[in-house]
Amino acid sequence: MMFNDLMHDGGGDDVNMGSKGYTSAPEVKEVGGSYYMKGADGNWHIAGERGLVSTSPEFAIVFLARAAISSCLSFLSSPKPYISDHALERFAQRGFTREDVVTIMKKGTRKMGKSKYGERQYRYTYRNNTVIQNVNNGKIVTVFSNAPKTSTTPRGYKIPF
Amino acid sequence: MGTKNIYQCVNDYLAKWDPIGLPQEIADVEYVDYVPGIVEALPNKRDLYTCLMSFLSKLGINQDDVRVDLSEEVKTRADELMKLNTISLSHEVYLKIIPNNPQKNVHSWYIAYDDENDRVCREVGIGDTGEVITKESFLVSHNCGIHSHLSIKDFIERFYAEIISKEEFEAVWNEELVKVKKEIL
Repeated sequence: MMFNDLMHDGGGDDVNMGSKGYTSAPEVKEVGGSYYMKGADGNWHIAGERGLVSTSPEFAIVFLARAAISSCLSFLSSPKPYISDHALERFAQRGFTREDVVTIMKKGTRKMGKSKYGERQYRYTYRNNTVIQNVNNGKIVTVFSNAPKTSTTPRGYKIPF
Repeated sequence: MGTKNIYQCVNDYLAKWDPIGLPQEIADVEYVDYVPGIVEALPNKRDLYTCLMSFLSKLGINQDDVRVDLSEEVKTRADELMKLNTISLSHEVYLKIIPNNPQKNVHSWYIAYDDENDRVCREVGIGDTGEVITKESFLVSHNCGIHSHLSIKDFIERFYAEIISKEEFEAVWNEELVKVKKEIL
């Protein structure tokens, strides 16, 4: 691709070259991957370099694969509040929804806690409803309230908020 | 024969173990889902080991995140649980179910289940204001209650049944029946 094509895609019209004040297309040549432009003084001045071009389809495949792996790794390594199988069962048993859990995590107070085996946990509490989240992997571990059991609801059932 | 059954003992054991680290009253009901599977696996140490590893995994507890050797820990727990199977226990299991869609105005069921013969032997239905509105006892040859097709596993895994004590069940069983007469089938 010639320099003229980069600056203007019309054919044969004059090109405004800014402070240089050219009124017609300048004379450009390419030598060893660099573009040179003939100045008003008649000398050739370097004007730019040709971009790198993949000379083999293998390069394109390698670049695409690298990009795909990189985005997958970044997705997997970022902590997300996803829900363990155990917690999903507790949701159903205790009348909590995902939206409830998000609300508790957003509006509730957060304290650090630990599991029996020393895993760090966030314990969010909002209006006597508690969500426990594993700090390391972001998983919701369980959810409960401090409501006692009644004849119609089990212990730990959601306290409306 | 003791007053506790194996389901109650395993549930008590899991509540005391409490891998998540919960308030005791929540731990008492947190792990009930896993009880039938563990009871099934009790006779075989290898099955029990696999079952307990799966239990911890479902709770999100993995070897990569903890300092203790989980494999050794689970072996110790399996040994302790297997000892429960050797003590004298009652074959009656007592359950409480709160149905999502109450039928016949029953808002909670109390069930006595004969684990040896795999059948419901007694059931009590409680109305929305806490009164006993149905009460039935089933003989072996006439097991025709509305729960007769269900196993303990079904009750716990499908209906989130809570394992309760014999005393709690008997207290409800001995309450006066309201509206419906007690039937002995």
